[in-house]
Amino acid sequence: MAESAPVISVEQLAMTYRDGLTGRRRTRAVDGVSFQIYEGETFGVVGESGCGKSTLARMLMLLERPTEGSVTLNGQRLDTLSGRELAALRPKFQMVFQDSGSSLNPRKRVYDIITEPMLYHHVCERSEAAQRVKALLGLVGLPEGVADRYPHEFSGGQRQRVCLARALSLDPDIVILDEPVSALDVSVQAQILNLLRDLKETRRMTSLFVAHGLAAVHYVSDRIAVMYLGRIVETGSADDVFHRPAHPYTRALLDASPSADYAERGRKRIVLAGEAGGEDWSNGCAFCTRCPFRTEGCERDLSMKALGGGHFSACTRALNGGTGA
Amino acid sequence: MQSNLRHIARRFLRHRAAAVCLVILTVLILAALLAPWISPYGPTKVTKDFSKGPSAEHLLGTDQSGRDVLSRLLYAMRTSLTVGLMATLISTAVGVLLGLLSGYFSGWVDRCIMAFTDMVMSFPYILLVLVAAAIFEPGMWSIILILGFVDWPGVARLVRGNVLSLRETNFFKADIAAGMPRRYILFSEILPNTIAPVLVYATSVFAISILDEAALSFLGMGVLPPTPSLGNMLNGAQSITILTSKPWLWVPAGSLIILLVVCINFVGDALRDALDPRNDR
Repeated sequence: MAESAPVISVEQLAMTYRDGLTGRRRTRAVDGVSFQIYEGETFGVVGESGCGKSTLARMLMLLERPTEGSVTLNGQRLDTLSGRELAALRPKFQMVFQDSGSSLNPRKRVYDIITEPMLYHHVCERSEAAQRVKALLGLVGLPEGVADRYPHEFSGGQRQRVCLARALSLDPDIVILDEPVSALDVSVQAQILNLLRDLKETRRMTSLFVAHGLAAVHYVSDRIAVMYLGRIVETGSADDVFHRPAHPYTRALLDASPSADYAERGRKRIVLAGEAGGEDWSNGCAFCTRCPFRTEGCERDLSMKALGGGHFSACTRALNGGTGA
Repeated sequence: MQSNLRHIARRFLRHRAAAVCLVILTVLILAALLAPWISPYGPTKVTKDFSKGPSAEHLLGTDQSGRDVLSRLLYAMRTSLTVGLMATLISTAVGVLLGLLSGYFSGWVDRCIMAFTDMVMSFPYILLVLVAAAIFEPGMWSIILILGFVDWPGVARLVRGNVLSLRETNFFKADIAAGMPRRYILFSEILPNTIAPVLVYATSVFAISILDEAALSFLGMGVLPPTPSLGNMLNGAQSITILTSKPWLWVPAGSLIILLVVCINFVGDALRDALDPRNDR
């Protein structure tokens, strides 16, 4: 995969919010994030609330301009474009939001919601629109009859399918999925996750999948990045990160999810104390204040250490034979 | 949409008082519209009776110039409703446009429009209207324009607030993400979602405009006689003798104003509840 050019490439992306009267108080929501996503791949981003994963998604969509760094789509740098140039390119990268309830205009029928952007961007002719809507609805697993309905007549899962159909209608090169299943019932979550997997297999859909549950991300992603307070602390293939976590934070995330397996209940867990953030961590490992494995001086080494097979971790312990049990 | 309308009708009918008011309002509006056919005399026709009390010939009596009060009342309602309706249309149109622009383009456009809105709002209302009425030639159309100019800031603020909250919705962001043009977002996505609150607000502007017209005409700055309006029919009540001994000259017009305003306000209140789907139980 690595030989071809990436669909989207992000270099040292950062977002600093300023508050207060003079703008002196700063919050660095995303702090120097870099990664590439290749065609047909699903890249998962996990992390707890407030770690900057949604800000990252919004910056990729250029809904917010990054304060530093670059976003490059198919070799075209996006963050320096003017509004008009950007608008013309926008169909190529689409987004699905977390809250499906407010994602669809309550006063429009599904048919209009899907066709209006297509017609505006000349993705299809007016005469083919009905045919295309039918095909798109079929693709996301909705009967064609729903085209005449209004958003409030749907369940959350169905609305999320409509959102996905709208995003796919413009033939995007990449779809940014910002916590698409987080607001849904568990059984509905599974359906949507299966749908995403199917779309990846049948349409070679390239996507960035943001979520806070590692299990869901592992299920749909090829590669995963774990974020903590605005930085990527571990990245690698989905199986490496999920089965062989190298960063104590990834371990803690995995340990935090309950298990149905009886034998697993007695396992030793890392349970994190306290809450993220608060202290000044701008020059060191953001996780060090909560880390059970902290050693003298380890928090100053922020470099990503290669563990082989594209697996990287920011923790020094990763080099000394994993996190230990 | 069909079922949507039925839901709205059902929620509206839950307000019994509003349903009654709607019937009264319909009757009054029909009476005003049909005035040329149903009124017993012309509005300016002078008969031989002067200041006579109600009788079989003149159901509500005649005024000091010998004109039939009932006929004048029907025509006056035409004038008052026209003034109210037109002033509401003008102020709503101006308010919606400025509110949309102000909410959508934050930054200096918003600051300029809002500063202007606050300026208009902070003028002593009746004084502004009186000065304007004194400068321009009094008459029905100047009243409409003056009231239209005075009433829009409320609408503009309402719409601006609505747009600001709609900007936070995901469908707005999805439109931006899809690279949709501004005119589409403004008029096809945002505007339809602000119609309901504007409609409700407009009913209260309608009622207020009728009251303002009556106040201005009562002061002699509004619709000028001989054209009848509910306000200038009350003009005569400035004299103590009429007030005490000739109630047929002012009670009907006064009650009609009260009836119109109360009914419009009740209907507006019910409309607010009816248009909000969250009230469905």
